[in-house]
Amino acid sequence: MAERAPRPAAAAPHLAPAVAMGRVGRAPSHLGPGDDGLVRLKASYDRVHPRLWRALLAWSGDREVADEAAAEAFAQAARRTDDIRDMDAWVWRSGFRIAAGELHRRSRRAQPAGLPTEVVTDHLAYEQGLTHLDVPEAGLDLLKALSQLTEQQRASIVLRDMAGFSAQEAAAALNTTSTTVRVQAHRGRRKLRELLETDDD
Amino acid sequence: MTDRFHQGVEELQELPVPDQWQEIMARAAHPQPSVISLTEARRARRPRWPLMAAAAVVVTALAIAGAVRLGTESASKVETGPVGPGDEEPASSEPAPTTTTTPSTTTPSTTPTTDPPTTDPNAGAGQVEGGDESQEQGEGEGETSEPPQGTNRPTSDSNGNPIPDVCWQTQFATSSGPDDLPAVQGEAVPDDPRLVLPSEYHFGTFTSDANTQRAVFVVIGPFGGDGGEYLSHPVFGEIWLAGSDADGWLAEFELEVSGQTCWINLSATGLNRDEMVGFLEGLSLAH
Repeated sequence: MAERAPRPAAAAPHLAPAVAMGRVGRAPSHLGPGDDGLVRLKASYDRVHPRLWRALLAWSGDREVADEAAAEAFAQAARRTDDIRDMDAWVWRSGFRIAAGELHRRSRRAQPAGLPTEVVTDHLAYEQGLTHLDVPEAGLDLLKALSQLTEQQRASIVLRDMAGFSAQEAAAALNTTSTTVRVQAHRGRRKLRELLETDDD
Repeated sequence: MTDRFHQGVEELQELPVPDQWQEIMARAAHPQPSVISLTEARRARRPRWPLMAAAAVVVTALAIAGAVRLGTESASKVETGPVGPGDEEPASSEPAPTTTTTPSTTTPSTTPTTDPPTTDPNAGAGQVEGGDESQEQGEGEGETSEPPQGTNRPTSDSNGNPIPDVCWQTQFATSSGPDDLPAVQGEAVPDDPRLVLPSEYHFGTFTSDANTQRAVFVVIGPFGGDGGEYLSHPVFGEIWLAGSDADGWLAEFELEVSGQTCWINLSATGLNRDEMVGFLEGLSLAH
């Protein structure tokens, strides 16, 4: 058994990143240096990764979820580069799906008895994630306010107002309709405005 | 949005982003369950045949019990007389209801039968198919892209709040349209920025997207923008209107119908503000 490498400070104890297994830097067997797929993936990584990671962080309120979802989305894209036409869109969509799965899994794990609604448990999971973050005050206030929104409202605002997506692009990333994104973004913004103004008082 | 929102966004944008390229390459080369504890890993590897066998026993037992019960009821029906073999309702001494005006309130289960496999990292690496267009989100309000028809509409929103049936039955009339609104254009032209799409009314809470009713005027182009204004309305009191000429409009208002509060929203593009306000001003209840 390979000796485990030191973990990044922000990583969660339960995560087992592949770096710990001594496989750092090895490309998938079908991807060699100069391979077109790898080049496309790296270009997509350079374009998308920072925005995706921050968007996932804002959406989930959890650095661990952002780390995991962003890395796993790109890793899975690396395994099927030949099958993916629009790498950026694919990674965005996958990142949010993976993050959603992880957030829901945590919600189920954290769900106290007598709180049946998904919204409540999602909110709990989100707030628990915030405790791991080291974010300046205004950023943290924003994340706390975002935690009061529904998942769809949060995602729509994060993609539209933070990642700079159009409604159509956000809809593609969330696998929903642009109308849904528009309406959820508007409702979310309205609620955010109330929440942040309340904080100011 | 408020300065506080923008300040928060700026701070989040300045957060250092970890360089994950090496980890990504390693994950790609060696797929493995990505977020999983040892306990969960053992659970995942545990053979499932005992559970399946137990389930098979239970199903068999229930089937037998059901068959026995059916046989008993069947015999009972025959003994009591007038119910023919094709009748669905059991014989009863109570009179049947004479009239029913309330539409069926058949409710789809709000409990997801399964978690979307595409969203659960515990399912193991390599199982998340983000590029699969056929996958639906399966949970939350994202399910609104496929409107259920008829009585399959949701009876509660994503927060668990009931959507009163009267909200779905409410009909609206317009005095300023749709005849006065731009005529329905022809087929949509791909890549045309003025892509023609049908406008939509949404009745009820947002999940009422599931019961979208198509309006007869068209929307053109993307919707965007922020802000909004409150319009005084003679029937609905106050309507919140947001959008712009270019991006389209979103209007929301609450409406009390038979003592129930309904949340209504409608969206449209292809109208300038005057047309949109005129449309809203002419909006009233049809009954």
